[in-house]
Amino acid sequence: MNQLLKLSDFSVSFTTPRGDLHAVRGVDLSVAKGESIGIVGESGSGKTVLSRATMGLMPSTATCTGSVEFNGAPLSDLSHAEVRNYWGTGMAMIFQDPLTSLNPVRRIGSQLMEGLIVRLGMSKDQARARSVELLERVRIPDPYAAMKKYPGELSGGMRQRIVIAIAIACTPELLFADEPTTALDVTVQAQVLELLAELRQEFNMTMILVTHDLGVVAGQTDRVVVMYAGEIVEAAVTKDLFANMKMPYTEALMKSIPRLDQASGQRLRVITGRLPDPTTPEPGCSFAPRCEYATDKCRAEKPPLVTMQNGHQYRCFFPIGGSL
Amino acid sequence: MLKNSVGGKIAAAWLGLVVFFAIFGPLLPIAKVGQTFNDGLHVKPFTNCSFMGPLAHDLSPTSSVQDEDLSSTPETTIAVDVDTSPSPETVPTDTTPTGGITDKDGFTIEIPPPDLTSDTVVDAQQQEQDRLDLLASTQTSKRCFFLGSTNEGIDILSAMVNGSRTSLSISLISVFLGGLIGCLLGITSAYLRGWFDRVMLLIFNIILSIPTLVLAFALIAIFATPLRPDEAVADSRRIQVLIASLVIVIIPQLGRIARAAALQWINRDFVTASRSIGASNFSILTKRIIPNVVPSIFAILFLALGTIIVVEGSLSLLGVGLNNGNSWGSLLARNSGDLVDYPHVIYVPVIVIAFTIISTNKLGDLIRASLDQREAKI
Amino acid sequence: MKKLRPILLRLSQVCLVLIGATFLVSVLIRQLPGDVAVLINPAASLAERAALRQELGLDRNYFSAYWMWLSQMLQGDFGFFIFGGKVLPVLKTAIPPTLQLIFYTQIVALTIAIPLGITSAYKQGTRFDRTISTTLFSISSIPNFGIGLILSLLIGVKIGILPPSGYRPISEGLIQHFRLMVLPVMTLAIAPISTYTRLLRAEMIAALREDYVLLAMSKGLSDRRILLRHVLRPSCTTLMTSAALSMGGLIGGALVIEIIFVIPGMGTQLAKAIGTREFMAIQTYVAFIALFYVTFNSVVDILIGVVDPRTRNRRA
Repeated sequence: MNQLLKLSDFSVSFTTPRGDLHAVRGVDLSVAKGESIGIVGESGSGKTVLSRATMGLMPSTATCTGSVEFNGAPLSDLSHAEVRNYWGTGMAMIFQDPLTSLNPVRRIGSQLMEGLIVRLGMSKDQARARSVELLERVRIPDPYAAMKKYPGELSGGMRQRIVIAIAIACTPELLFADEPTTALDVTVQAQVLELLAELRQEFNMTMILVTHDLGVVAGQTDRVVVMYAGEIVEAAVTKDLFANMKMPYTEALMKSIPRLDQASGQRLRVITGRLPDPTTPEPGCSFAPRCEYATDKCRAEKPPLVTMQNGHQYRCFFPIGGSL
Repeated sequence: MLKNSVGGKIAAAWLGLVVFFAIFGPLLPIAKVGQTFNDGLHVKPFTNCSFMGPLAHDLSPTSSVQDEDLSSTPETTIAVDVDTSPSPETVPTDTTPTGGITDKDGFTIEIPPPDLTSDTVVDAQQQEQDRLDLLASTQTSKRCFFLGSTNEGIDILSAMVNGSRTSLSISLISVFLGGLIGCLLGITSAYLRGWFDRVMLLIFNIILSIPTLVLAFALIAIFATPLRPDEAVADSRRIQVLIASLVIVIIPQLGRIARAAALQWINRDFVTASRSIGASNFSILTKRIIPNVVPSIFAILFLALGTIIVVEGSLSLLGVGLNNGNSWGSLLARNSGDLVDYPHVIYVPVIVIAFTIISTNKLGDLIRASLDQREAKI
Repeated sequence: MKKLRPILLRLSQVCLVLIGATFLVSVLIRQLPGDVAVLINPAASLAERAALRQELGLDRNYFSAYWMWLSQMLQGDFGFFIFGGKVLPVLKTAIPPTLQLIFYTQIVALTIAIPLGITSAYKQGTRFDRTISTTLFSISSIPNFGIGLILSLLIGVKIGILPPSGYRPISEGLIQHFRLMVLPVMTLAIAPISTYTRLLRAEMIAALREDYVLLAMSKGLSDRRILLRHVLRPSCTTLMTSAALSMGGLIGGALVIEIIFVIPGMGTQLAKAIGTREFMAIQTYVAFIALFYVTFNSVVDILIGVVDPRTRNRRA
């Protein structure tokens, strides 16, 4: 398979006054060209940090170890300035909150044209023409007027479309979408997801979709990676995961999605407890304290990541439906 | 709050020292109020001083017993009573001192030269004689001027110690009164809103539209002016007017800050909650708002203290503040003419004022930082 | 019309404040002890005095006296000196030096503070950052008159590369004009440099944490471009507000600095007028200072609206 991105033993930790905070621990992940991968986990599971750190968008308080290879280039060995060459053209990112991810004091047009001029060396007129095309492509009505507006004058859905336009402006090979629909209304969510799927096909982009919503992942991705407390706890082809989930955590996530076919009045299932403290790792399985199937073995010993024949990976001693 | 900050500790220590001198200064041997030494004009700092020996004031060979007696009856009052302190103008002052001689001990003492513009020969002779007398006495002086002396023979160290009393009292009283009135007005207007708030804000804005120093300058000039231009204004009157003017300029500044801070708290849910259960305005103000606003004002008060010390000095330099050399600013203003030849008369007050302001600013910053932390925890 | 409304509203507020301030001054001026009529003409008879008092509006109540003063001002009559001469020509010569002093100071302070603030924010927490902030904190705590006296002594007299004091208008030689301005401007600029740097640093650090900076980074822009194009501009709003607010301090500082460096500006004239109890001159000077201060603040307010679209809706 044609590897686009390959993470091996990738960890990220932050230096805090309370000690080192391990946000991502020993992640191995490879993404093929044209693939669409979903990274799922609850807030604080390290999925956002993983995507940002893969790109290299990390503050100086963070230390990354392990290796990141992009198109065969070892990003983790390159300097900040060298990695930057891949941003925009090689990989780009869509952020969660369109209200904060656009610069409030600059016009849409200048923010959109900037990347084209700086990264692709376009002239101003070329960049303007291309920007209008892009805005049309992401279905902004009246793109000429939108170019002259400030972000504050547009709705959330519009802004997220503009963020998408900015991200795809330089036709990146790999697009990270970090919770692209979380801050939007439900009706707008569907439109944005549809738009992303179209664009992915059209530009032949590889996409990594980060979300807490298994429902979003179901329709959009080829493969799903479930993260918990900074680790990959389960990874499988999307269909296989939904049909045949192994991790109790994935199951719990699944059950916590509200469903229409549930009897009304029935209480929504929640995952009790909270994420473990990332500054003090526990000896056993990190999900053990919240797991309804946990045994003493789970609490004392860390389960390894088991790979099944069909490539389905899980990190559990007592997987649902038995091992193999 | 001070635990992790070395700077904060130094600042607190320095302010403590200043306050100590301000209160107990008159009781200390180094501060002989307003005393002048004819044999020590324009002495450079550290002259004649041995750090191990006794204070040189006490082993002065030329000073008479009478002198000693006078100085050993220090003022025991602590309050500001600048009128009662003897005026330091007992030495003939010449504003163009250029002559200088070097003593055999190696220190330089500057002596005013004869005034060549004098009309009569007798006057000139008399002055020359005075100068020679002065020269003779200076050469035998073994007095220690730790920070040097002024052209009037005032020991700068003792002047600084005495000045701390006036400077600090003026700043503390005006910041306290101004802060109190400003807070009351600001909080009330934030709470009552409506026309009271609008009128209050307009008044604040009107006063703020005249720069602080200009307003204080004008106020003092108007209210501390004597009936006839050749009359002098009593120092007590000057201090009263000075404090009143400073209070007037502080009120709108702190009032506006207090109003903004109070507004922030008034809109919080817990205030709305106590309103909804029918708490009286007075109890909401005293129990909910004031306890939350006052700490943040406290930090600002520290900063204001430093500003006021500078304003006091500036006013002295502009010629409307104190001019008797009895506060830091007025000491500076009084001697600023000697800057070129005897820079130490400027350096010492400037450094002391700067240190004090650094300290108040630092403490104000620390208080604000610790408040921010508390706020973050909520 | 819609766009003009906030500006008109602002303008009416400014007028109200200015009228209040000048009225306050005119009331205060009347508190000066002694009979001005006697000062002007000590030999005058009682009838002459009464006539003089009437002419000066001293027999009127506060409001009608203020009205008289205001209408005279609006007609371009700025009063006269008790001891002879009109106020207007003095005002004309006194305004340029003060304005020059203040504007040079603002320019110098901003040109030094903006790069310092940007660099400190970018190198946040490093030795460079700490050194800059400690140094500025300490220097700015020295009272400006102290800095003025010491600078004039060290650079003006001891080293002697610059004239220690004096003033020369631009028309009498540009080089000498600027040479004379260097020390007073340096003195006055220290406090605002510190304020602006601290403020800009804090604002930029906050802005650097924003998502839009991440988005700008992910476009592959250089750090320099991000700092200057994306972070500086939203941070400038606060800087401009602070520049406007520090104007009051600068005007006050200029009064003292003018006296120390012997510059014949508004400060020197005001001090002179107060010393000789030229009540009409005091009133005119203070009115002009307030007018300048308030106008500058309003202009900055309007400019902020242009620079930062976020504030536009807030005001309406």
